[in-house]
Amino acid sequence: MKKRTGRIALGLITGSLLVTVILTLWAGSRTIPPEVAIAQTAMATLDNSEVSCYLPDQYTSVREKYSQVLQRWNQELHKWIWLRQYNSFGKEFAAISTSCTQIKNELAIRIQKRIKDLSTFGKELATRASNLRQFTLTINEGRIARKDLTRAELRLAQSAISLKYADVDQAEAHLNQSDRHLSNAENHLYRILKRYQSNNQIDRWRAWINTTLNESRRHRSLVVVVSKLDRKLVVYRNGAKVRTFKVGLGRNALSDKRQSGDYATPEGRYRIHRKNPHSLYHKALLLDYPNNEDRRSYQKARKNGLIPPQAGIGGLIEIHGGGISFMTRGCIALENDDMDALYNLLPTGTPVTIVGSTDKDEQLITLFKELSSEQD
Amino acid sequence: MKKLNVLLLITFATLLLFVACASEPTQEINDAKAAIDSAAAEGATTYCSEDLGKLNERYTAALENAKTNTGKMFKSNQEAKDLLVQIKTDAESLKATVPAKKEEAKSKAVNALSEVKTVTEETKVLVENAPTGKDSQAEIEAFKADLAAIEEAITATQGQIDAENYLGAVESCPAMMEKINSISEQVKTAIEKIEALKSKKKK
Repeated sequence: MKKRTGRIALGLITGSLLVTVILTLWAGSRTIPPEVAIAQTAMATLDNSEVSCYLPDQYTSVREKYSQVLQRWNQELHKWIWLRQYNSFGKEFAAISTSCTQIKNELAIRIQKRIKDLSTFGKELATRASNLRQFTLTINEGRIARKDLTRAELRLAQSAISLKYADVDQAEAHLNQSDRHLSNAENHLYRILKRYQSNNQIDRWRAWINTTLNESRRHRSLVVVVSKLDRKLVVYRNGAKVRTFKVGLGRNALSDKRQSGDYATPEGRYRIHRKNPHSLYHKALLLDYPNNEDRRSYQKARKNGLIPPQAGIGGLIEIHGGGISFMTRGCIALENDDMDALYNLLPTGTPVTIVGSTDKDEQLITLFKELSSEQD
Repeated sequence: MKKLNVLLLITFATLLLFVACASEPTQEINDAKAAIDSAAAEGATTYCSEDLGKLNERYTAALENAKTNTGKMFKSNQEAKDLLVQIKTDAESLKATVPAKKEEAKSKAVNALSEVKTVTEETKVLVENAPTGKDSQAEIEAFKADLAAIEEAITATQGQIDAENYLGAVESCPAMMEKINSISEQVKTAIEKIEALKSKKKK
């Protein structure tokens, strides 16, 4: 009996062992689809890229799909090895890998496009900065825009370095800062020059010139017209041009004078009030600034709070020598040789009309208009 | 009976095959991760970003290796364990190199900014002593505005150095250097122009 029981047990154990070995060999021969690891790597590469910034929807979609498949895959791995079903997972993970590759390619295209766009933007800003720098060299007021202009140029140079290192976000931040600084620089100049684009203002200046020239024709006399933007002083006799002189002006010459110490050159119709042969600046022709119109404007500005109550109207506006190089405090400066000629030419009482510009299409204004339109 | 014992032993050994080496290398994973995090905290993210990136890639690969093995019939995590131990060692070595790299970047930033400061000071002296002449005063005032912007950028870069953003400072300096050199050249040209005009006038 004992022997029989032993045989049965031996048979059972041998049978179990045989089944176990067969199952083990069968299970061991089943390999995990290679698509799983490939998909995991592809997804990890995508996770570490900038895809969420550039293609958020596509990234979220493939991420969700991957998470779902991965969750089922992990559930599958928790099953007995003999019960696991790998078949469908290979295809699903392969599809995810394909999506990841497509998104990665699209991402590379997007990044390249962004770099190209930023390079183009950088070139536009560089042109704008270069034009603006040129412009700041032509007017005394240019200096007020230079700090912002240099800031802009620094940012531009920094953006080029960032782009070189493919730091696209940093490059874009520098370019946007550069754009802001350029706009600030342009706004500084725009505040001064906007009057020079106004048709009403130009017509007003032209009317003054016409009145002055008519007076010259009527009395067959000498008159002077100073154009601040052109930096020219023109002498007319009988309404015809006699001589033209180059002039130097103040640091705020393009603004109309409002008060004492603003370094602006007044605009209006004046006369030579007095001649001074021993001026600090070689020779001088004192104008009758302020005239009645200036006084009215001054009172109005003070009443409206546009100038401080303690500020005076100013005076002692002259046409003098000393050279056109240095910046006056509102006077009109000539080279000494020119001043000698002018001093000898003009008698006391000669009308002197000072205008901002005579031409709204003047070259500088055209250049500034271009700058403003680039800004828009 | 003897045969029965042998068979029981074989059965036990077969069962052991299923569970042997089945445990995940949790300790090694945690150690490697901690070593990488520690290197990153030390500044490897900034100063050894490429090496740290490679370590992270190797760490991910080791995790994949460990995960893949959990699905196998005959589990063996020895390879993953070896990888993770090596990653931990390399992360510790990387961490040890960070202070030197940081010091190197600091030195580069300080030197680069110092060069910019020197040229700026020299240019300032040039502008201050520039003779006034034809069309020069407006130009000189414009140069002063340019220099003010450069000095502002120098202060900002000094701020980056003080905040230990050495790489940011190193990146900022070439742009400043380029600009200040350009301004310096313009100032010199302007001075030459003025002096030429002055000597022409004397003649």
